[in-house]
Amino acid sequence: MLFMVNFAWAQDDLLDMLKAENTVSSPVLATFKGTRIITGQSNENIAKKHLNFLILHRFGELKDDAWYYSLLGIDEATVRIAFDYGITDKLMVGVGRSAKTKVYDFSVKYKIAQQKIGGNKNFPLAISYYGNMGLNSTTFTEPTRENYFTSRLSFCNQLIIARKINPSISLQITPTFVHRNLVNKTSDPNDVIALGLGGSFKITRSTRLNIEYYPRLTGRDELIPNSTDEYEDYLAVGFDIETGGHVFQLMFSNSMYMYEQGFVAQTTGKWSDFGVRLGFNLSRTFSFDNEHIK
Amino acid sequence: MKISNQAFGMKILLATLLFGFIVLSGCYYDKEEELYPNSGTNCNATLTYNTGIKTLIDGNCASCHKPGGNSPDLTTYALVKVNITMIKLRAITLKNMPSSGLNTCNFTKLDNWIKTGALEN
Repeated sequence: MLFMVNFAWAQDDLLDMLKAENTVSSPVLATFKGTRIITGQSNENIAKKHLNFLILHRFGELKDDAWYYSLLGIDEATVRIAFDYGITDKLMVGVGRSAKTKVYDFSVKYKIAQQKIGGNKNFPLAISYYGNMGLNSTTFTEPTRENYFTSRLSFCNQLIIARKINPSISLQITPTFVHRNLVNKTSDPNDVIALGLGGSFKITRSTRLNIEYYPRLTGRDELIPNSTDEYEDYLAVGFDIETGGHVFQLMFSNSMYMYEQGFVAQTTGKWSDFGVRLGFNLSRTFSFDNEHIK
Repeated sequence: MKISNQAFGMKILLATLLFGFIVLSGCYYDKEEELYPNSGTNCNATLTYNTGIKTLIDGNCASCHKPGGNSPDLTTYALVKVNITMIKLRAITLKNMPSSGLNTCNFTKLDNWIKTGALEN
């Protein structure tokens, strides 16, 4: 008798499973090719127990004679080296360091929602949170005065809202909040709010065209130190080239910075003035997931 | 096994929240100019009386030019404004006041301030 009951229950389970199969939603994967569209974050994470090693380069501005005299700006190249690790498929942590500015950045990205199609649990958007803390490690310019550790810190919080419209087009809106603990002038804002816009468009099977624009909603009148010019909005155009285990990203950008606090709030290059930099991102993923290697 | 996975999940969630709090908080709203009004890092900054020039004048002029001290009294914006032509002549053009001289940074700051209209705010 007991067996009978169990058997009946098991049958119900199987029927439920069959029902569920008809209405199951499938996740939309690969909205973007990498964890960043160009310099800014995309909704993509590194898979669980995978380590992503990134090398990002931005060369000097191409304006005036720099495009040949410093060979496309290579003489003034700056680099950011970073590691991103997937703790789970939804949670990724990262650490990076930028040369020249000597800024370490510590980041966390969490997938709040996954875009899903089909079935009764579909969802139109992929939503992620990205937070980043920057630590400026330069020696204090005036060691005699009272300097504070907090003056070294800057923060970025982003809500990443992305949608893969079809296999060829993915779009993203990224409300961004940047905070700097210390700014130069009294008139300079500590907080800058920007609305990041990004898009990725398929060209061939292994290449995509990417565009990224971060217009600032506040703090637009902040001046570049010792200059009468205002900061610019960050705008970049790039290409993804997928080659085996690598994603190679090539771009033109008007910012030398490779972390949000820099390129959102402190971009100096003018596209109209050809103050544009060539740059590239290289990434390589390593797996530490022993369960799935068989 | 499943329970331990859940516990691990909880730990991760807590760690995320903790990190989130660090990222979201920790907010200071410091301005280098106000934090270090006499510092040399922003000599070319355009200041106003209240954002640094008062400190400069108090430190370099008003220690003598005060009520009961030498004339003119330079302890308030109104008094400084009335005497601005004289201040410019002595401190910027002739450079014979203050008698110890202004350092380059303070000189630039004061010069810029007078050039931009010697504003209070």
